[in-house]
Amino acid sequence: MSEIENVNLKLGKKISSELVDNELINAEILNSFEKQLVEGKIKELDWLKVFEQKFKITFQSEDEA
Amino acid sequence: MKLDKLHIKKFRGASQPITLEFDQSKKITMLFGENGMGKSTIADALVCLCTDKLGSISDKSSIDKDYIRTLNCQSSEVAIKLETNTGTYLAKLNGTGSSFVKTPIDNIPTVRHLRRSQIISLIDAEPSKRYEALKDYIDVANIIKSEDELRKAHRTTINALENIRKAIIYAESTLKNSWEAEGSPNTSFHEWAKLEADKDITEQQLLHQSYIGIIGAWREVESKRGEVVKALKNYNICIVNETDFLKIITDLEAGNSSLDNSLLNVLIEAEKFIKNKSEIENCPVCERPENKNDLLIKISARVELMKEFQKAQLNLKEAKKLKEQSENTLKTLVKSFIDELDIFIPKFNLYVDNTDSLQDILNEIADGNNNNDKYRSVNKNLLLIVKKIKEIELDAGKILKSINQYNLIKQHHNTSVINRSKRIKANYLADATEKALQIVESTRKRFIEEELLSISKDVEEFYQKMHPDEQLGGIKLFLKPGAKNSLELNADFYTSLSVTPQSLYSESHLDTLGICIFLALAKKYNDGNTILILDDVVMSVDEDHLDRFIELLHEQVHSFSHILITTHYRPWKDRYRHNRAPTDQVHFVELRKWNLATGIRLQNSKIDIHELRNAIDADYFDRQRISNLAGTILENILDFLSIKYQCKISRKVRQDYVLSELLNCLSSKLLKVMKVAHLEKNSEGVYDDLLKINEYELKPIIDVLKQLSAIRNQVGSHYNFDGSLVSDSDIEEFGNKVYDFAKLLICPINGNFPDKNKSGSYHETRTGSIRLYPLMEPS
Repeated sequence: MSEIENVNLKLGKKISSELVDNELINAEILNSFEKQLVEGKIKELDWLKVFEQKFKITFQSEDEA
Repeated sequence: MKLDKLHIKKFRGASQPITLEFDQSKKITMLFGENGMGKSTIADALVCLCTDKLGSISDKSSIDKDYIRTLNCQSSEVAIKLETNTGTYLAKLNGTGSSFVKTPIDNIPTVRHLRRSQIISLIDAEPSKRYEALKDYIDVANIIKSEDELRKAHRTTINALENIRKAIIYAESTLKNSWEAEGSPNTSFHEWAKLEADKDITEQQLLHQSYIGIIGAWREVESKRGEVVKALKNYNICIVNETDFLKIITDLEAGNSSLDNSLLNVLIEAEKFIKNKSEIENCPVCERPENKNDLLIKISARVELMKEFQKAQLNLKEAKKLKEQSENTLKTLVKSFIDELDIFIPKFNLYVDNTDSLQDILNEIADGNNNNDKYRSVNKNLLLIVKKIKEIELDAGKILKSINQYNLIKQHHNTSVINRSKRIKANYLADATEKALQIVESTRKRFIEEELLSISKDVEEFYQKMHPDEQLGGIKLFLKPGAKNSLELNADFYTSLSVTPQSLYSESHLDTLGICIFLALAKKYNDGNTILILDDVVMSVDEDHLDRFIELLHEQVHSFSHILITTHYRPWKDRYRHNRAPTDQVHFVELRKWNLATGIRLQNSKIDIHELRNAIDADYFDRQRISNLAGTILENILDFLSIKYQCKISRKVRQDYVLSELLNCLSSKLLKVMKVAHLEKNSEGVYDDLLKINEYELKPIIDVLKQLSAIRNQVGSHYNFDGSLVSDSDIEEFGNKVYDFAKLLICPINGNFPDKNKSGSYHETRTGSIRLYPLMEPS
C-alpha cells in the first residue's frame, strides 16, 4: 500500500468510526463503507442510502418498542 | 532495501546504455556534475520507474513527452531497470511514448523527489497553491471526493425538505381558504378536509356524465339540423332554376314554330355554302330570285335564334340534374338528423318529467309519420328544447364545480397527509447529512492539522540544526481557517513571532526552510523503502550552513532506504573529498561532459586520501601526482588544525595560504602538547575510553613533514632543476607521511576530522573514535 493510500485509510477509519459512534451509519456496514470511502467511491446516492438504511432500522426498532 | 544497479537505456540524455552501480555499503550516492551532464536524467529515471510522475520534465511549463526518449530513437527502446536486494523493477515506455509500463506493478520502491522548483513553489506560492505542493504526501483526495458527494447529498436533502414544506404550506393554505369559504365547519380545516375527501361522489359524477351525454347528443342534433337547413335552401334554389329555364324554352317555342335542333345544322351548312359563292341570283333551295347579302342576313338571324333555344334546353337539363342531386343530399341529411335525434330523445326523456310539457313535444316528434314530419316538429319546438338544454348545461356546470371542489380538497388533503409523512424522513436525512458533513469535514481538517503539527515539529528541529542561535524558527504549518485547502506557513524572526517568513527571511534561509519541510515530509511518510532524491537543491550556501546541512542529512540517512544527491555545487562535493564531512556513507559518482554520441558518462570518484594511497601503491610511480595530492591533503589538514586552534597567521584577503604558512602557524607551545588518542570499540560497538587507548604525538610527524614539504612545489607543482634531484624514495616518504598523518586524524568509521567538542577538554570525531588534544592552544 502506498503512503498516500495509507493516509486516506487512516483518515477513512477515523471518519467511519466517528459516523458509527454518532449513530449515523450502521456498524454492520462499517467495513464496506470504509473501503468505499477510502477509495473515493461513495456517491451522493450511496450516502443517502446509508442514512436511509439507518433511518429504517431506527424507526423500525422504535415501532417494535 | 539496498540499491544495487540502475540501468538506463535511451531515456532522455542516456543515448548510450548506462549502469549506475551503487555501493551497497553506502546509503548516500552523490552524483556530481556540471550542468547538462545528465544528473537529472538519472534522478528522473528513478522517478519515472517508481512513481507516476515524470520528474524534472514536469517543471517545464509545456511538457513535450516526445523527449522522454532520447532524440531520434523509438519509444520501444526506452527502458529503466533498478536492481535491489529485494527485487528487480523494470519500466518500459509505452507505444505512444507518453507513460511507462511497469513490471512488477506492485510494491515498487517509494521515491521522494525534491527539486529546487518545488522548494520555490512551496515557499513562494499562495497558500492555496502551497497545499498542492504537499499533495504527494498528504493527499486525501479520495476522502475529499466522498466529502463533496456528501455535501451534494446534504443539499439534495435540504431541497427535498424545502419542497415538502412548500407543498404542505400550499396544500394546507388552500384547504384552509376553502374551509373558511364554507363557513369553517367542524373543529379544524384538517378534520373538515378529511371528511370532505372521504365523501362518496359517485352519484354526482354519474349525473354529470348523464348531463354531458344529453348535451353532447343535442349538439350533434343541432349540427345535423344546421346541415339540413342549408341543404333545403339549396334544393329550393334548384327548383327555382328549373322553372326559369322551362319558361325561357316555352317563350322561344311560342314565338317560332319552326324551332328544331336538326334544322340548325342545315342552316349552318347553307350559310357556309352561300358565303363561299361570289354571287348568287336565286335561292339554291327554292330557286326563287335572291340577293346574296339579304339571304345571308336572314339565315344568320335564324341560326342565332336556334342557338339560343339549344342553350336553354341544355340549361334546363342541368337544372333538373342539380335538383335531383340536391334532393338526394337533403334526404340523406334528414336521415342523419333523424339518427342523431333517435339517440338524443331517449337520453333527453330521462331528464324530462312526465308532467313536463316537453314530454308532449317529445311524443309528437316521436310520433311523426316520416322523417320530414319529425324534422318539422323539432323546428317547431326548437326554442323550448334549446331552453331546456340550457337549463341542463347550467345544472351540469354546477355539478362539475362541486366535483372539482371535491377533487381539489381531496388532492390537497392527500398532498398534506403524504408530505407530512415524508417530512419525518426528510427531516431525518437532512439532519443526518448535516451532522455527517460536519463530522467528515472536521475530522479531515483535524487529521491534516495533526499531520501538519507533527511535521512542524520535525521541520523546527531540522531548521534549528541548520540555523542554531540565529533567533529563527518557530516554524508552523497549518490550514488557513475558513479556507478549504489553504496551507499557511508561519515562523519567528527575532522578536517577531508567527510572521510570514517570505517577508523577513533571506533567500538562502527560505531555501533551507523549504528543504527542511520536504525532508520532514519525506521522513514522516516513509514506508521503509523510501529512496530520497535531492536533485540540485543546494545552490550556494556558506561553509557553516553547508556543514550543518550535511550533518542533518547524515543524521536522517537512516530514515531512508537510500539518498541520491545530484549537485553541481563543487564545495559540497569537496567537503567530502577533503574529509571535512563524514564520508563513510557516501558513494561518489562524477559525470563527465555529455554529448549525443557518447551519452552520459559516469566515473567513480574517491576521496583524496584513497587516491593518494592508490597513487603510492600503483605500478606506475607518478611522482608529480603523489607530490601534488600529498601537498593538497596536507594543506587541508593544516587548514583544519589552524582553524581549530585559532593559530596566528598573517591575514590574506582570499585566505589562500600556502603550505609553508600553514605549517609554520602551529606554535611550538601547541606542537609540544598536540596529540591524538585512538580508542577501541567495546563489545557493544561503542568507542570506550576504559579500553586501551593508543596515543600519538603529532610534533614528530609534523617536523618530518616540514622537511619534506618543499617536494609539493618542487615536484608536484613546478618545473625546476631541484625537483629532478628529489628521489622517488623521498617522494614516497612524503606521500606516506601525509597519508599516516591523515589516518591519525580521520575517523575510520565516519571519515571526518575530530571537529566536535563535547567533553570540554578535547576535540573528537562524531563516533568518538579519535580524540585530538589539546582543546585550545596553551597560553
